Amino acid sequence: ELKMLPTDSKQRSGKEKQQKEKQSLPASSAQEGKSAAQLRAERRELQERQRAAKLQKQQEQKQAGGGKGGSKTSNPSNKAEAGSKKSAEQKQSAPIPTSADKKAQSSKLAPPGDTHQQQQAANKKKSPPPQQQQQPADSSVKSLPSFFRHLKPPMDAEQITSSVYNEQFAQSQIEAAFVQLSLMVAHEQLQGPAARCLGLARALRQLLCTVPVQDLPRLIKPKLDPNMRLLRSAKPPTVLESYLEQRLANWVQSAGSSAENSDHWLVDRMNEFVIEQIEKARVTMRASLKSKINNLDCIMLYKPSSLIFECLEDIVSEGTKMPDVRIILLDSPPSWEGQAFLRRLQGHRLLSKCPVRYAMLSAAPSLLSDTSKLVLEGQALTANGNVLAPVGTAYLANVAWSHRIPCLVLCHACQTWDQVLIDSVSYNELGRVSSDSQLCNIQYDLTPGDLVTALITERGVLPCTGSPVPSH
Amino acid sequence: MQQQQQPAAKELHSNQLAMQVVRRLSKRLQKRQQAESGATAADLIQMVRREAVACAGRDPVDAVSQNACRRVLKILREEAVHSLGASAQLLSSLQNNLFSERPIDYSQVKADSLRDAVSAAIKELSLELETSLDDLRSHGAAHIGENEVVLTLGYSHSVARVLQTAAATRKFQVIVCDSGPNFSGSRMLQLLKTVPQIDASLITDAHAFAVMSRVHRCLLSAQTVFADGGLRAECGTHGLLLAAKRHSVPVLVCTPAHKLAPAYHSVERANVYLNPACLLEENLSFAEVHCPKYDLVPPGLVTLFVTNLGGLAPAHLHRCLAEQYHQDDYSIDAGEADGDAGVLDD
Repeated sequence: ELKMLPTDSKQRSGKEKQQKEKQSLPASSAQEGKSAAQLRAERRELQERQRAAKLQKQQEQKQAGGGKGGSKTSNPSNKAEAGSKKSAEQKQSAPIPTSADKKAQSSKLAPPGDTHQQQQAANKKKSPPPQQQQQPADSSVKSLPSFFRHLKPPMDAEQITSSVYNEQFAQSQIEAAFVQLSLMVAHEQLQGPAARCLGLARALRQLLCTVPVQDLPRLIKPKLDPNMRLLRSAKPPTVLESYLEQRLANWVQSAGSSAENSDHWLVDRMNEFVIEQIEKARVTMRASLKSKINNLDCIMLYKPSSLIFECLEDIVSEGTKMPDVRIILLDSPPSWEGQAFLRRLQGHRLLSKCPVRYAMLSAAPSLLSDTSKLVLEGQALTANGNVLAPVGTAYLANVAWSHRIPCLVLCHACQTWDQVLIDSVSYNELGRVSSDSQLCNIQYDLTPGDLVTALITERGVLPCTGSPVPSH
Repeated sequence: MQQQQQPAAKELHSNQLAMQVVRRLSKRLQKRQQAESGATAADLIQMVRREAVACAGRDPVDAVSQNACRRVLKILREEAVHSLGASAQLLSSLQNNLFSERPIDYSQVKADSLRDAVSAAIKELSLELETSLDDLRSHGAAHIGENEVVLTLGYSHSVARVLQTAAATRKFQVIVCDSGPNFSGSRMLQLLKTVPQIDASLITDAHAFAVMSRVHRCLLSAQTVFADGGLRAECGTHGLLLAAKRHSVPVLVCTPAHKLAPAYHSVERANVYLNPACLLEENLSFAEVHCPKYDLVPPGLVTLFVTNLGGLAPAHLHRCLAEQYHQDDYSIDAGEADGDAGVLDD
């Protein structure tokens, strides 16, 4: 069974319930696919009617409340029927009831905001099919520094469902699993380097089950393309995802005659990939990291994922010879991953052996006098030897370097990338922020290779200059 | 769980704080002079020194009140030397310190003779303190060019003034860094959004390294500037300055001269720690929370100190110190504390 790496358990349970909702629609074969589309259309009409009523209420609320400050334009939503720009502004006016809804009904299933935005997507059915990429509303672009304005703002559930609608209008079929995955990716539910790749593998499995084996080499590409388009429009692919896609294409190409292969040969190949490249690699990396941690070490962590958590568990379960290790956990808004990690640690037996200190990233320099080493996780290794990692990693690596603290970065070997990057600006992703926050949130930053002491991969412990150079 | 810190009901800027201290001292000096007929300059100096110790005792992190006391002491000492006559003046001047043999004896000087000169000088000092922020902003604005990207951290009155002055004549971008646990960046953003020529945006300090390659200037403020060029500044400044150093971005620290303390960063470790509840909720309190309000930044990271007296290179801080305070007042020991010094008779 593939493991999804959860961040916030509450949100995850909400998404699982949404998944069950979607899976209740039969979407597994071409025959029943049409009925799924019909069902969806009917559901949308119903939601549309409900939505119109809700909009009326909203409008009254808005006019009473006076809107949310000068930067967000609040056009009365009557004019919202025509044109995608107006509907984008409407999306901006949605946050008021959405956030209120979220506070009131936090225990309910899938965040009401999503349903609300789906209703808005349903409303667009009246207008001619809108473009796949919505124009961002003015206020969100303005709050970005100018050099980040080439980045696409993050997609909403509404935009994803409208993309789904477009694809179906063009008569290509989108798997429910891919829709769910795109939603999770767009809402940043999947944290950690391997999580998105595992999600993709799982979605691919479901897709492959729908294609009869003898037609596989012929049908796989046209089936896969619309799904991957949807996923890519949510967020650009991570290195691991691109690698998986590439391998898939290779397998299909080198398949040979289908009579020789077993029924599920492609699914088997994919499972093998996941086990070899991701799960076994994790085990090896954990062992390498453990060997680098000595007795009485104080380890500084920033945005740790389950990989580091498992490694700590390994260390602690060593027995009587286990090293006496302390942890400093750093955190930064708006994602507060450090607090999520603390919640995992809560009540865990790790705590009795490993005392934890928590601080904001800004306090890092004052804590470095206590630290022995810094352990970080990388997203990708660029072809020129820099490390792409969650934002804040470069800041921390620089601070540690000035204080002569070794910095270890965990990275899968297949996370090497053929792109060449020298700063964090040319390639990046915009992250989500809450609607009332003016924060500009970037997902990644680039750590120069000379700030990293060692790269821990499953193939060994390397310097950053050990990245493979692509042959041109 | 992340709370926006509301500005305190009576938030004093540093110059207002300094002016308060000066006013208080001048009243006490006058009272002392009226009460005691035989008071000498030495007595007055002793009184002000005790007040400085009391200030340190009330708030170890606040250097501005102590510095205000030091300025008053400098006035007293100078006027005393003036009244002793020309020969004594010659003795005490900076150039002749090497050759002076006899230390000045302040108990020779009667307090009455000083009264007018001292009150005039104190008035001048108050005026200088009052206008310090205005003087500062014109010096600072010159360093920002058209279409440049300026990075700043948190909310600072001095920096806000400098940016507003620069924006009067040119357009540029400001990126405000919001750092925990203070989170005062949004306040700065709100202020800057009202300035038409400034294109302001907000990031967290985790992004500081990522954006630094596109930044032209770092404009910061400090709570205290130490004599060796170190700073006590808002938490997050140290990391930001290290990133600026890596990218060779000039760092300008805008502080009025009364924040310049004759102490060394390696010796002064006083810091304020905030309530962990502002970061973590109750059930996660098994973790030891470290949330300092200030960063103690070592020297070597600042390009220029922009003060109300003009731009000052870090290597020249000692000169500014020598002009502002008297050498004998650089260190004021706690041992001089007395019973009556703790009373605030305003």
